[in-house]
Amino acid sequence: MTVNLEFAKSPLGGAKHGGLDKAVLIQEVPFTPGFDLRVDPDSSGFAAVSQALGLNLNPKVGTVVRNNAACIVGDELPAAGGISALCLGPDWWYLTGTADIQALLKPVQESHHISLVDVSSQRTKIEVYGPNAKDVLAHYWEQDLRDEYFPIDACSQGVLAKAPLIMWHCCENCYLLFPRASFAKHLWTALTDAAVEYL
Amino acid sequence: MSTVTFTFDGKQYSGEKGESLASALLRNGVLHFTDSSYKDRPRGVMGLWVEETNALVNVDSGAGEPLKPATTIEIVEGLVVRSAQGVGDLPDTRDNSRYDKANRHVDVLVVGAGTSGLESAKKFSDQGKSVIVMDDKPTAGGHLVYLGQPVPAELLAVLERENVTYLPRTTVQGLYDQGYSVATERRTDHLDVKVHTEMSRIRTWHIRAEHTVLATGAFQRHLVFANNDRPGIMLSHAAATYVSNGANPFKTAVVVTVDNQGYRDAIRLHKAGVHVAAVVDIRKKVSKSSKKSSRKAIEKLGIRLIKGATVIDTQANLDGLLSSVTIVDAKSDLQETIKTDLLAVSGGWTPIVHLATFIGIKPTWSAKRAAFIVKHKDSLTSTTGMLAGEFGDDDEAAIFFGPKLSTEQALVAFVDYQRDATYRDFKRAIDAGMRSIEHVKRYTAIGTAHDQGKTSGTVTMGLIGQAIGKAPDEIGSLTFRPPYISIPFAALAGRDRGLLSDPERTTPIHSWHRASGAPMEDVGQWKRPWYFPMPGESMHAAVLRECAAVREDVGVMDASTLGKIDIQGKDAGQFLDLIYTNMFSTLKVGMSRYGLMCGIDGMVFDDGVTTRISENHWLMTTTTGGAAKVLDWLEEWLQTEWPHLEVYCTSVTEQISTVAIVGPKSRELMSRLAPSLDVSNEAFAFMENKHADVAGVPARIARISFSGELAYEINVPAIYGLHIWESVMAKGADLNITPYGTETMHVLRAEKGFVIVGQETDGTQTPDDLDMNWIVSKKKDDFIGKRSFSRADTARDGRHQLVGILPDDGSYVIPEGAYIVAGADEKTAPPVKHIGYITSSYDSAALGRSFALALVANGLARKGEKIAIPMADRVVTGVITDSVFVDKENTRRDG
Repeated sequence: MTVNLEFAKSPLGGAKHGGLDKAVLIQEVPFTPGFDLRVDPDSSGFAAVSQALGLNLNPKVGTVVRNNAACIVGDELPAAGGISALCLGPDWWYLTGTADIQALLKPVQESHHISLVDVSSQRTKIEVYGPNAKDVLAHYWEQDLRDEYFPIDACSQGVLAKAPLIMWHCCENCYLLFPRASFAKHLWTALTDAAVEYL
Repeated sequence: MSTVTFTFDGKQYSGEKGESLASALLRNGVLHFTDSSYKDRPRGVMGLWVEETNALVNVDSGAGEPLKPATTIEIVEGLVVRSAQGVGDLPDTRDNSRYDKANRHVDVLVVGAGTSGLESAKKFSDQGKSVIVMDDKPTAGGHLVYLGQPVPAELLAVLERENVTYLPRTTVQGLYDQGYSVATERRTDHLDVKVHTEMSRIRTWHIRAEHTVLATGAFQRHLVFANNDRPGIMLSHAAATYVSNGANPFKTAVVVTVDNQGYRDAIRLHKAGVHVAAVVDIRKKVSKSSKKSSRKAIEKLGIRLIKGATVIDTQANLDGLLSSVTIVDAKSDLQETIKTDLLAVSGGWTPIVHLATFIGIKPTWSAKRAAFIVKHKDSLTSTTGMLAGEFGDDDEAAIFFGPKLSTEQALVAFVDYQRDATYRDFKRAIDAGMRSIEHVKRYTAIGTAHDQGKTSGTVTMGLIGQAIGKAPDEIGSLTFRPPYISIPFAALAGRDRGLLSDPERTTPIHSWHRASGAPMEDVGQWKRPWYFPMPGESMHAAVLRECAAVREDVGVMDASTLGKIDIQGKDAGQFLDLIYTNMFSTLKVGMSRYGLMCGIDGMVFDDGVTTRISENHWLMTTTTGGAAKVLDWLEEWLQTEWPHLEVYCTSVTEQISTVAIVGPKSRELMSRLAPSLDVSNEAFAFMENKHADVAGVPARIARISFSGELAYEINVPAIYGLHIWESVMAKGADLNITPYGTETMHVLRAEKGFVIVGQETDGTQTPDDLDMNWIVSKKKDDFIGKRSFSRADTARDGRHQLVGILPDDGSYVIPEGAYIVAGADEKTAPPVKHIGYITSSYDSAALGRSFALALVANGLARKGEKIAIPMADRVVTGVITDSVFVDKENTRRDG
């Protein structure tokens, strides 16, 4: 669904902190499309979904497969028309990207037991980028962010500064956070506060 | 070295920047530091570092901190401290320092940057591992720094390596299972100017290491003899270090020792210009190597050696400072008094076993070293250095903790200085039959002060052994608990203060609510507008006005926080029939139905309205606070009991923003907002859903009412929530559109007798108890809770049932939670048996009086009966009524 920018408001109004040339850049990327997909990897629907999306879904939790650029900075893939699929659970993916995901999966929905739910408004997207991006996140995030253990295109669900979110390491020194909209302001306060010693 | 000035007990002193406060005070000749906590005895500095038991101060400058050992404070310009006589206090000023927390994953954590720790760091770094080295002192090198000896350059260079992080002033406070440890880094107190103005004062590190090396080193310990606490009596290693660094208020020294460390320190004192009158060694004989390295060495310097003797008592001058010591020969009991202003005590080394014992590793007793050591190596943890018993080759010690004392001497022979616990106290514990150190500790308070027995622990073990003729390891073993040293609460809180202490969840319309000046009500983590006062309006007046506007004109409420769950799949109807007590599978597409769900115990669990969007697609709403718990509940049943059902549930609580317009004029307002929509009752019936553009945004509109009034709930993607709200306010301006908050919502629903799960229920109410038998299906084979309705208890006489209460005085609002007593005439003074309590209570604009909902035993059969409510200052009387107060016939919901 296209966003009517005349009426729409993102949780953080596209806020920006730090900068591309600074130790860290924190910015909201408003109105990022997002869908919760549920499909059993052992069902016929799974192959049908992969085929319809043109993307081989990986049923390994914590992985991302994609054919598009994920972030504004640093990524080399084309931004338009693509899809990223983050595996959040054994039968659960978070799909994001500019492709018309609903249209692509409509035929599959009619013939298979899958569920596709538009959650574009439910979460917003925050990019944390820069040489100190890891350090800022590690003030709250307890998981190991070292590249051997959380490589590019790994994703994870967890709690950062008490705000539940999805984290995705999308390219070098760049992390995408997808918090629930109601937690966005709290998370912003926490992230910008943690960045204080690096800026 | 630059000079700085600081203030101690109101007097200005100068010292060398970076030296410890203890060192600076000794440099200034301050020997009498404070008086003891309970017995007011003069005390001076004993130790070098966190083992210090006497010299505690309260810091007034900077952030302020209570009860800090003066040995651990690096002096800076403008430092202000007061001696603390066992009692800590803080300045009244607010601490505006920052505190933070950081997580770090690493291959190897090395605790301690002494030579053993540095060697370990080098070994692991050479293997390509990432290493973090933490040491609580300002500089690396451990004892070498104290001894004034150079730290090998190749070891210090390890700290500069790419794969090594070195954190000085960082105390590992706790070690836990699986390589998890917590440390505090003191980052700014030692700085005159912060590196970054926003730099955190203390950082709490949470480290996860694949392997942890404990290279924590050792403390020296004291001996227990009469008057062993006078200023001028110090641990020998501390005394020699201070004096060697030029902080020397002493002329003469006597060294009393059980090991060869006393000899080394005697030599250091001698070299620093102190006259060493004697070295008193309890050992008659020592090994050949000790003889060579220690005894010969002091003989060469002309220092007198007294073998097989120890100190039994000391004397003081008029200022309370040490003036002489009494030596006793262990065999002959012959005594000799020697004049001296310093008594340097070497009671043996106590390896710092704390971290090892935190994870359950038991120290073992080394008779040769007279010390508890931890020699340990497994994949997670290993020990090295003095902790592992790797002392110097000739570091042999006598197992000796103090001479035999008379009763009078025992009264002034201190085992734990800070607690003023004496050998006499200790002896009383032994005489009372205590044998375990845990019992002795609790009987005497030994080891319970700020230092948690860092020096007194091993001494006490030894004394128990000496008293009952056993070796220290036969008594038990030392165990400690985190933290290693005291931590300010602020450091534990880190950033979790003020706004960041708990998330405030806000709806897309929150900015409007805030701007309107509405006070907020906390509903879980959500901030919801409570009421919207006009300038100068009281809450009571605002709520009455909002209620009246809804019943007469039109009100608007932000219902975005309601829990919402998208349910898809061909078995969804069947699934909902099992979850809810009432029937859903028969619901027509486009219609909504109110449902009640129970736990397996048959008690009401949650409620809400569920809508059939299409044949296999449903949208459930839950209570605001119940959203997460209901989704978990649904997933649990799907995953564990009914995996054969083709159903997927997805949370959409925050995808959808809901704006409810409520009141007789809501139909007019709805038609203005969605001109394309036929809003007539015939075309758009109660509980029906329609899709239409509202203020230019595609929306689902539902005719659902939580007040009994005609109402429309406008559901849009959350990014449009604020736009819809603002459009409602604009289009309804001439209709007296009135925003209302949670309080008015509560009043309106209570007037209709609608329950709130969690307010009218406490987990012990069945649908019958809520007078909602109508919602329990008699047709369905099964649903969650059904079986429990046939339990004798759910049908028993005397269950609490939902009723209304009208107080006789209609101007009085009964407090919620008030207890109800039967009959207006019965005695209401205790003891009196209550029959129920008030669950909701309000003043009603519609009724023009107060009313309440209550749970009353057998309440449904008691309507019309008089009740009384004993309050502190009065007895409120009233009558039990039906729980529906307004529009019993539901005539208003269609407008």
